[in-house]
Amino acid sequence: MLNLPIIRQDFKINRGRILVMFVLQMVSMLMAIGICEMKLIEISDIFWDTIPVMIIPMLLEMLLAYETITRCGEEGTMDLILATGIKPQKILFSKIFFIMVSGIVLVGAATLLGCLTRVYRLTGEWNRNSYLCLNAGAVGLQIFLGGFSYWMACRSGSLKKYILTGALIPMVLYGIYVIYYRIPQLFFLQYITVFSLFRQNWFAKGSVMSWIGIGILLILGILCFLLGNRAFYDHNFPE
Amino acid sequence: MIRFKNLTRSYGPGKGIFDFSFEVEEGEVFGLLGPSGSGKTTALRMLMGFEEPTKGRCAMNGKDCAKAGLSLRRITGYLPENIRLPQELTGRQFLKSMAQMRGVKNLERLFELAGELNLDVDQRIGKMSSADVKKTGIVCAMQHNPQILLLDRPFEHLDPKSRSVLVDIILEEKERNHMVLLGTEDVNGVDMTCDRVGLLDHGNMVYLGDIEDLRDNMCREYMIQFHDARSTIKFSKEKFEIKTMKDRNLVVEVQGAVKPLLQALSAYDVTEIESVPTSLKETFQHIYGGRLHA
Repeated sequence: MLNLPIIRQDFKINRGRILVMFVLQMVSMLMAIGICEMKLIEISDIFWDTIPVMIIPMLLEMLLAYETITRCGEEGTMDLILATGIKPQKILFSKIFFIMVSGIVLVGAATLLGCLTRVYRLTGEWNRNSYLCLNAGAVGLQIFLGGFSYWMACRSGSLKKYILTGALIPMVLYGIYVIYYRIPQLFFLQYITVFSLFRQNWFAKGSVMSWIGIGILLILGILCFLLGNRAFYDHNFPE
Repeated sequence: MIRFKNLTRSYGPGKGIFDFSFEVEEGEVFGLLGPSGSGKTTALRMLMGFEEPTKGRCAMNGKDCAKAGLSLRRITGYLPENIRLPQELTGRQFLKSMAQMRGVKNLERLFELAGELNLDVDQRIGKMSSADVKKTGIVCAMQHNPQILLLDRPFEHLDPKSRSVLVDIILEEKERNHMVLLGTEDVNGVDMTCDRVGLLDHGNMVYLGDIEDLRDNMCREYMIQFHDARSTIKFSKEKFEIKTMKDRNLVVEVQGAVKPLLQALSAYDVTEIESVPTSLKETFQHIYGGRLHA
């Protein structure tokens, strides 16, 4: 199902970008630890659970979906890869694998650092188990976001189109979630953003709702991958 | 054998290719020559199985390109038009990874070809000139010694020396009984490599035949020197198209057979007659009515 040379090529092309995101994530976690010492719990939350496990992996997946699919098509490398005679499904699966593993490894790295530095003790309601559950749930969110970026990357033939869809839509949805989070009176906003399916407080309480939300995100993510494959075929092998 | 049979791929009026029917035999170099947007790329992409025909079919080695694209792609070398390639990799890294994707173990031929084309494979693609990027694409297309070679604008951006090396490489492929199909706007490139040529205009094949036949049937120019200026003036009143006239010399354009010209000249005292080399480009410009891109 996988073609290792494709994954290796994508890694070599994107290793600089992955490293930058990894460094940003580590800096964010270290800032969380520092802020904890200063007892600024409310701010530190952003640096230990929002930026490292949501924002940075999301940005990385967006970037990798563009680099491995849209840009690869724009610059003609995709035609050369297709010309090798490798099955298109295998090419796509290798690309999806690379995008997803990169995002999940990033979440894993944040989880590991969080456990090692006991960052989950920043607020009283969290323990290590709920912290691990939260990060496992974040993987579900990343599968959805990766799937969505992949779908949009397969649909877009250029950077401009990709920015308008694959990058802008998740950003807007996240922005809506932040507004809802800050102004709970605007409760209706939670129904128009998928980010409300991943709520930290559900995990802290050990709520079943957290896993239902993640289940829905996983299903939506898989659906996005299928739609992406369809878009890729329509784009590269039009009937 | 490559075979197009009534192949049509329409993207709207005048866009795409319309009713292509021709064959390319083993050991033949065939040129699809036409300006930008005339359908060269579409024809090559259809052979790669990247486009479905609206009507008709195309086949390579007896297999339908739309249905057996996967197996055909394994025996085909393809150079897409306007490739840019990943800027972060060196030429060596890129070529090696593409070879690994194809399962090519022996990389000797690959780097030998790069050497022939004077390509520095250790340079980052991002820092390469467009000519070197093109060379990298050519090496990539030929790395597995394909039976069929489909090259889209292979001469574009190349310097004269590299063009001449590429011409030799294409002729070597021909000697090895491989099929080569070129899509190009480069008349001289076609002139130096192709056995047959198809002229495209807005997706229609306006001429199909041997390059030699084409030359024979097209306009030729002759420089004629008369014994005296009076004869020159007198001849200029005959029914021939005079291109230039100076002193005792004039250049006359003849379309098709040269016999009428020779008959007319028999009545004059001619001291010298010489054929002016007509480029293929001028020949094609005649067919296209000047629409062929320079």
